[in-house]
Amino acid sequence: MQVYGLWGKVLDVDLSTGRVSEERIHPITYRTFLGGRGLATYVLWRELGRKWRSVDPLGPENILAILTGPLTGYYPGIKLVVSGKSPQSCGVVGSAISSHVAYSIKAAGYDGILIRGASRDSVYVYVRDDLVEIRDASRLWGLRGLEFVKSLRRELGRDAPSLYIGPAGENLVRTAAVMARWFHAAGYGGYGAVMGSKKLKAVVVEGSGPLPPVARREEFLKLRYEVMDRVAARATFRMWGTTSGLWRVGYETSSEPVRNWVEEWHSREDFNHVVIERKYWIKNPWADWGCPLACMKVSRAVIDGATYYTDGPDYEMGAYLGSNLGVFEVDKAIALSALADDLGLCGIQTGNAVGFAVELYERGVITRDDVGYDLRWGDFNGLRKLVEDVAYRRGFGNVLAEGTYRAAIEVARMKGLPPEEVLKYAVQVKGVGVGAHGIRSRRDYPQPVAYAASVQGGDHTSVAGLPVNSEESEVWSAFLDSAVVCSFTSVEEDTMLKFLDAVTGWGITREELYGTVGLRILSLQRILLLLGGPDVRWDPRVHDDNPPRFYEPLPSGPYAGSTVSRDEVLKSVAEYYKQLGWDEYGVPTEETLKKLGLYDAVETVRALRRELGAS
Amino acid sequence: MFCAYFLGNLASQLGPAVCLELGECMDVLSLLDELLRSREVPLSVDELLVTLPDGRPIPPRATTCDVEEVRVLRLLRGG
Ligand code: SF4
Repeated sequence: MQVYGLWGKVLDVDLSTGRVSEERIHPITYRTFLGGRGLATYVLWRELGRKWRSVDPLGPENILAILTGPLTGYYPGIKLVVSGKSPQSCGVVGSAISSHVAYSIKAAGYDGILIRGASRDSVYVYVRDDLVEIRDASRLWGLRGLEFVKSLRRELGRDAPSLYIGPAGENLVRTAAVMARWFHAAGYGGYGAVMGSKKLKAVVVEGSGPLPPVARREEFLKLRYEVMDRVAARATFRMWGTTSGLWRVGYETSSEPVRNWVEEWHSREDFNHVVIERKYWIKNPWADWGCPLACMKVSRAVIDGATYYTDGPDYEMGAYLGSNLGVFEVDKAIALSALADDLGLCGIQTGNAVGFAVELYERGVITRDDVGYDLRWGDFNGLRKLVEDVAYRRGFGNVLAEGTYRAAIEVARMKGLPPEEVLKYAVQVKGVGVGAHGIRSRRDYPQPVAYAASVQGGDHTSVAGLPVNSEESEVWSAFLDSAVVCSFTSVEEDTMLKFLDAVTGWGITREELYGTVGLRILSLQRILLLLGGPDVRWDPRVHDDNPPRFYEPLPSGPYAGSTVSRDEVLKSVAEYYKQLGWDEYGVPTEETLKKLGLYDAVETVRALRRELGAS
Repeated sequence: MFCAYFLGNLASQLGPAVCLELGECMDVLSLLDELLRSREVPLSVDELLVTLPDGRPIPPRATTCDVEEVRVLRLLRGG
């Protein structure tokens, strides 16, 4: 059976034994799970599903999946997906990252790389077409992002596409990201720590061959040009990228985190993309491989003689390392973003955890004795120090290095408080800090059900939404992450499916996408999330909910007083599950599993339902 | 009669549908742009997905005489 748009094989690298092999992926598996997030979920279920609860995400048993999808390299824009058992949610997160590695993997003749086991000494995996080597990384271990990029260039004598970790990943910080090009990050999931646990500093791929053939070349080319034109016409995004959100999401839609989400509005006019463009950008536009949207912008800030470079800051970084920490000076937000990039920390999870810590400090729950220095809203020096301490697991940073949820439990233990007393300040869902798009004003895109019912917790790129058979649904995110395209360049489902068909010839219809293919991926992710373990388990009756803060009325801005009610959220969650064919606890029903062909999951859901006391 | 059906949070701002009796053919995207402005929704049309009810894209430069119904939702989710 011919497979188009894919090579039908992934590299399999075992770092414990040093064994490198190729694994064939059956065309039917691709047709069933697409690629990227879907294929990662399938592989993890197949290989670890039976013992999921006992698999330590930071142990050698975990599998790090670096996968492309059928649209990678063909559809404008470029992404790959990093996945595995998440050290944050203990489920599966498909963490997308823009990187030339995506194209390069396919040009080397593979669809992805699976990495198992753990090395004793620090290594990096080097792929150049047929050549695959596990190389010594002792000279690279310990380096921060920019230094790593420069050192790798010196070592190889050229710039080579790479995914790597910074000190945070090496120190098994659960909020560590997998990085690319010194500011791109696969942040959600905490896969930087998974790389660190395998002593894997980087994956470097230099592919030089062609992409696999497509099913219908003429149609593919026509669609590609059509989408290129449409995407290039997105003027706001092309001009300012996501940086434009720094003014618009905060000021206009009141859904930006401000001081650990106490507020979601601010009126600081200098936190504005036009000001940032004029004063800080040194490169604009800049694009990832094959992308007509070119949303990247490089900014530079100088503080006390130190120069900081970052992208944008893009909206999420600027919001989480700016307003969420009470920082309203752009140069300082740029500096904190650049620091997180350099340390290999996810800016969202770091800003979430540090904002949580500052609120605890301001409220007197933790003190100078706990932290070792003052921690105040907007105090750049204290914040900078704490971000570094997180990456190196020093002092109180070691507590936050576990991520906001686990840190809250630990602070409660340290202070002899009931966990709820501290968890009420933790703006996270199922171990994952919520992305910088709030729900209270209802003026932004996430619906009240967005995070409570997501299979990726607080991930703002994979939110639940009604109706389930539309781009509002998480099924759509699962599709984009499995076909593996950049969501910023995506268009409506009809064209995306035609594109997929021109490349693969699969003929997947809209009904099939929402009714089976996307739903299958989401259902398996949900089962693995509910299995969880070893250190956390999620009870749908407790954890399929928003953070308590989201039920407080907004205190300021044009939508002051606006909120969502818990009742409304729980009703929407129930409706969402019903539409997906899941039961009242969000467990896929046996009937749904059979419809999806997931017969081997039936026993597992029976056991899950028994545990939940379901009839 | 031309109707725009809104999905997700757009529906909570604009209502599930806006139907207009128009005396002349109008460019669909310009009309939606005007509607967003008049209701103070801080979005431009290039941030929306505008499709036919069955999810197919509207033809380029479609007017309200070419299409009677459109489905509108937010395009950029994330970032
Ligand atoms: S839209 Fe931006 S993030 Fe996405 S591929 Fe293009 S340049 Fe990269």
